[in-house]
Amino acid sequence: MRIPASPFYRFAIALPLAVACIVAAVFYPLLREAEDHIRGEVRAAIEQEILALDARFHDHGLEALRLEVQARTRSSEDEDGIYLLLGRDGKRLAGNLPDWPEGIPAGDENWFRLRDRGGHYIEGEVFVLFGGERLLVGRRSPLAGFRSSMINRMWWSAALIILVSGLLTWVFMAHLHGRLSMMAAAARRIQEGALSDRLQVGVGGDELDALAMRFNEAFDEIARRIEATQHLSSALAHDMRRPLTALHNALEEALADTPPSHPLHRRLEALATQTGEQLHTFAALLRLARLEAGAWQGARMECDLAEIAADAVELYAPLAERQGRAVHVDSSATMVTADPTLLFQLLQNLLENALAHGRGDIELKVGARQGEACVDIHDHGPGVPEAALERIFERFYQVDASRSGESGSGIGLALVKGIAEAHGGRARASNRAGLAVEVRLPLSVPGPAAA
Amino acid sequence: MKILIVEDDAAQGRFLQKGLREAGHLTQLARDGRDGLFLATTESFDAIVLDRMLPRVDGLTVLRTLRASGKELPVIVLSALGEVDERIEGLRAGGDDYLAKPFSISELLARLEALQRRSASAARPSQATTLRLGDLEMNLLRRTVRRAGRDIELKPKAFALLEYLMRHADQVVTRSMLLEAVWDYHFDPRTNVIDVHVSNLRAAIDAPGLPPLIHTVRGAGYLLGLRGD
Repeated sequence: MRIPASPFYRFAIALPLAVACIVAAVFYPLLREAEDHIRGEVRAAIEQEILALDARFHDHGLEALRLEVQARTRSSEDEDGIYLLLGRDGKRLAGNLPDWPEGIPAGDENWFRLRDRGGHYIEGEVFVLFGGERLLVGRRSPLAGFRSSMINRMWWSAALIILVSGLLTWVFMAHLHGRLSMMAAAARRIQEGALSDRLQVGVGGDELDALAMRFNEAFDEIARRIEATQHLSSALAHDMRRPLTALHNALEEALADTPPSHPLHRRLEALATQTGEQLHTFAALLRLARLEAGAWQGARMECDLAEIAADAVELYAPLAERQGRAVHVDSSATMVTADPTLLFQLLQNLLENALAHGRGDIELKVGARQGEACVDIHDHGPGVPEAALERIFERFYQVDASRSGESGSGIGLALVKGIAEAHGGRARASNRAGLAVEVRLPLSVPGPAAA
Repeated sequence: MKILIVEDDAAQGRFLQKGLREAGHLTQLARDGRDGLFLATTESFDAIVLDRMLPRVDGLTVLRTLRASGKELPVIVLSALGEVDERIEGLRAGGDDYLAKPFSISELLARLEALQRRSASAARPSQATTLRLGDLEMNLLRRTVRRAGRDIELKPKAFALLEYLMRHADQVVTRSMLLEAVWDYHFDPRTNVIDVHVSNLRAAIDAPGLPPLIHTVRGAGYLLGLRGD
């Protein structure tokens, strides 16, 4: 049998068994002792009886003994007594046994034990008289009844012990299990972004409460660090974009003041484009940092991925047409719980990437497959080397260093992955019909709309 | 227009003042939230350009306090963070528009002007079903466009684009204003994607031989209007 993995179940099984074993170990010797005691009592009584009968025989002869045995046999006071007196020739003289029981040696002072037809144990002794007559004296022993009642009682009490301790263990473990599940659920909520949530700490101050407090301290620390990251990114945005913006603005102004015929015009234009690009990269980087820190607090709602894809394609299709290319969309309604703005940015980055690196038409598929929302894009371009497939989602990663100029900031696909992961999804790439980027997101659970 | 600028950064403040003055506006600068709130409640302005991150009193608090005291003038919130949640927060607090740094002065000017016209037209609500500019005519109910007596077929997005331009006729409209108005998503396109849409629209509206109505304003955006050039 396989032992269940949960320590709770193991404990719930092991504890009653252990209790039962301990009880058995303590009570079995006691039972044996009691049995020995009872047997001793019985034998002592028999010995005393034989002594008395022997004395009778000694004083008054065989006939007196026979009468005494007969009298004792008839007496209703003592129903447990067993007697048999045999003559020298083996003939029965008196007693309540019809004949000599089988298997009992005729020797003097021989102890025996046998079972009668009623199933009773009979303890007895054989005594050979001076004249050669044999006397058998026995008693029905209460031992059998005692033993069966004791064993019966032990089974019952074992069952009761197992039941009660099992029940207690189960109640206790269910309670423990409940508290641990609550802790796990709270931790999960925190992991899913409810950063201000904490584990419940009871008033008891037991080990679990101490553990919860320890975890809460860890969560506080994590929240503090995330806050620091947010603060740092805000500070970066505030402090570093500012001088770059000033430079960008100055260049734009200078550009506006320079007539197109002026030799400086083209250089200024190139410079302004560059600073604009840098600012753009910076903004994307900040957005990504915020996503990765779980700091995004945009509104999540039920939205149709196919609709958002249609909007994005509508925006980019004319650009593709300019390049003599087309965007083919194959979509079906796919409901996800997400921030529509982020999903739009995801699609925007997928399309821009395909426009920048692909050749020919772009294929975009949106739909639900295998319980997931899927967005697949094929750019029909040259693809990327197999070794680079994993890395294209890293920020600033360039497949080919010599093309870094034309391929943009290198942050688009990193943002795609960041947005997918912020929604509990993932992104991967392969070389099929050009570079294929596949995004998987969890479908929203059907049913009454959640708030 | 008389514009109050609330901005703690000295260089940025100077840049804003210079830009707005060159465009013919009167400006006054406040260096922190408390001064800004004081000026806004004691003097009369046509618009406020309000930085989000301010010492002493935070920008959004200034905005909420202003709205709570019944000041209805247009406010543009400026922020180093252009993220959507910040944007929504800013608009919820009572901002009329939200502009992420970096922005160009022309972007700010275009938005200020749009806001001013909006508050002016809000005073006299019109239920016009037809927009007109010279020989260009747009029927909003039938969703049709005619120029010089000839029907023009437009796709829905192109129609929305033209409608926005016509509603802001003779006014500079920036690329991001068009994106926000027509696509309804807040994002930052890398490419000149809006330019392609506008040039497709131009090809449809400004047929050869007709005077062009859609003009490119260098370094700023587009303008729909009757011009000599």
